[in-house]
Amino acid sequence: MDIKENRVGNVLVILAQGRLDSLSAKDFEEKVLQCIDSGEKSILLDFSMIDYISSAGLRVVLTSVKRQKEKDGKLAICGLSGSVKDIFRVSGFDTVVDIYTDQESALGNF
Amino acid sequence: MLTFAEEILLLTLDDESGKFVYADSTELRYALAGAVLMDLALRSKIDTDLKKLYVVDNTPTGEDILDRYLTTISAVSEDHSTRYWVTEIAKDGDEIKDKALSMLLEKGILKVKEKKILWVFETRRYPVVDDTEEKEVKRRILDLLLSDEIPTPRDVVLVSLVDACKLVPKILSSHEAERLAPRIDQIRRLDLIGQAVSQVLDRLRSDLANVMLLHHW
Repeated sequence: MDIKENRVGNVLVILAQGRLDSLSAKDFEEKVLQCIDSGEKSILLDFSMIDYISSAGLRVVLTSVKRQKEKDGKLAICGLSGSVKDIFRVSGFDTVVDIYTDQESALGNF
Repeated sequence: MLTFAEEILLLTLDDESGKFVYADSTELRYALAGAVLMDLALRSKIDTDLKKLYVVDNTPTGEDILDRYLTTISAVSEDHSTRYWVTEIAKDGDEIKDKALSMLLEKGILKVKEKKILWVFETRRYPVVDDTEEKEVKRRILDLLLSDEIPTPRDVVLVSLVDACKLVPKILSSHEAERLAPRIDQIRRLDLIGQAVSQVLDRLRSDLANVMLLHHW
């Protein structure tokens, strides 16, 4: 999995590419939690280049959302499509995290 | 730390009588199967998606019951859904229950008390020696349900299993359980294995209802 960071205004955009599963979940979690713990208050996870997510990937998202809420910050997700969108829908993740169609609409809501 | 099977078994125990009374045996078997899979998933041994469950690391966990099913799943070459594995493992539900029970005795959380009924029949009870774990699990679930706190992955598993076994009334009053049903549903959905356990049980209940309806007519 490839992870890139990009700052747009006061929002840190984390662009993940590839598969978010058991094999990549730990690295991704470390990266996101590190950003949260370093005081980033506005984080957008851009999953437009993620082509697969498993239960392990969802757990990392849940842990990150929880940590950011505890730090009084905001974390949102954008760019879901195909089976990745399906798994988020079935799991009801939209009830615990804001999900936007693309970066533009997400950034407008921070 | 207790396995999910041990935690769920503790919650089915009536503290006063030391009897396992709170869960229907069918529901408990499926919940215990789910508990095994959830433990394997949280230890990064298996992973799941909407279609299949697969092994990612077959090195043993050190917990007999988990390693037994890790070996079983590893040995099957074709992909199967989570629902398939919940159903398969649930066939050994009574064995998993016995194993979890013996582990709770070994860990000193429960003790065995033999009691004679009418001075003839011997029955076995399991009074709780150390109720710290049980109280902690109940408190965690209660705090979570009564707030809008985002659950940890472990909390999600516990709520899914408690809901599958219909143990919520042991933790909440029936009025509160009804009021908090949407919150329970929200948390339960966050885990795909928990969803699979619920789907299998819903299917079983629906089949049973159809059979009863057929007999009625």
